[in-house]
Amino acid sequence: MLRARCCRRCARRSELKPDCCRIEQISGNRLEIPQGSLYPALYRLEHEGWLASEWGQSDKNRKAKYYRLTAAGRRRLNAEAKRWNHMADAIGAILSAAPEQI
Amino acid sequence: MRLRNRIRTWWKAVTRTRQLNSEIEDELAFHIDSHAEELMRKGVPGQEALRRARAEVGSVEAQKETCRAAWGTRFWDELRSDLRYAVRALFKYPGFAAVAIVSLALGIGANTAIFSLMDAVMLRSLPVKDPGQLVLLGNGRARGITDDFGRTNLFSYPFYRQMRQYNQVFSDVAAILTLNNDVHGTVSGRNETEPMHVQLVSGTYFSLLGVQAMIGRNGGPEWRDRYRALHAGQHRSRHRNRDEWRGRPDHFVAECRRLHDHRNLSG
Repeated sequence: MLRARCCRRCARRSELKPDCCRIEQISGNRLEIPQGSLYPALYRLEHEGWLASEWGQSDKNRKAKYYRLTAAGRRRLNAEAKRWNHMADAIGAILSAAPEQI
Repeated sequence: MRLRNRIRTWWKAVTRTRQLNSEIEDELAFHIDSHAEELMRKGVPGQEALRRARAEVGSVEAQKETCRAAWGTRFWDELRSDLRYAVRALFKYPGFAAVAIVSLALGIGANTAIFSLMDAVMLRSLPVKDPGQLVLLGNGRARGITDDFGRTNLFSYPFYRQMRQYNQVFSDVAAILTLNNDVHGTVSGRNETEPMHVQLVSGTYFSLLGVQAMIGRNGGPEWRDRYRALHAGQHRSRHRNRDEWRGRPDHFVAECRRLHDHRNLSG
């Protein structure tokens, strides 16, 4: 789940090539994403129709594959992000509850 | 949308495996190269960076496999390799294959035969008009036995006539009498007598059941109070004997008349 979310995030800004290092940077080096698990996740997302891919030229004139979030993918991302925030809020509220509140 | 996408990717994975594999290879090669560059920028020497980048991605073959599987090909791939393995194994052990195939064939054949029999005897209804409306009086055995306790010749011919006359319940009434097995007769044009399976039926028999006689006449209203004899009166056995009687309807009917007169049943 987490993996899929990270990959989606890397593809969030339109037409980015997948880059685990960048995700790790964004997370402040707190998340470590194994390189080997990136592509199966991307393919799964494409299979579900949440990502669209196309081949293009990289800045060094190499053939590279670019991923783009589809409309359905964006809807799904928003729904999942909402659920995640909901969950995180709930757990945060539980953990920060003062003794007298209980 | 989602289903269409799934089908599209699945179809590509299944039909254009080679293209997909080379695409995955290209993609991974690009990924490894850019990751190695990133590492080199961080100060890792060239060869070491490349090695580390490769190690992090892992086996390219395994990656190809998992990426393809992400497109829902696992079932298909497994089925294909299972089938291939099955065929190979069958060719490797032809004796075993023969035993397996023969026992399957016997099993299927036996079941089909038994089912066909049950279907013909029990499941398929009688080939007559409104089989559900038919009512059999008595238990259907010889001489009109009404029950299993005594031998009462209740269903006599006069009974049938009364029944028809005062019938207010049924749309029609027919009578049938199976003669004993020791009936012998000659078919015109033949010299020797032969055993016959004879049933005497009332004139209403055919119209009530809504069936036609294979040869001869059906009786009908004007025959109403006369019996007709039938060779092999049941449809099925009549059917079996059709070839025997083909082309000789007049002889057969004439023979039946003679049987009438002989039995003095023409009332």
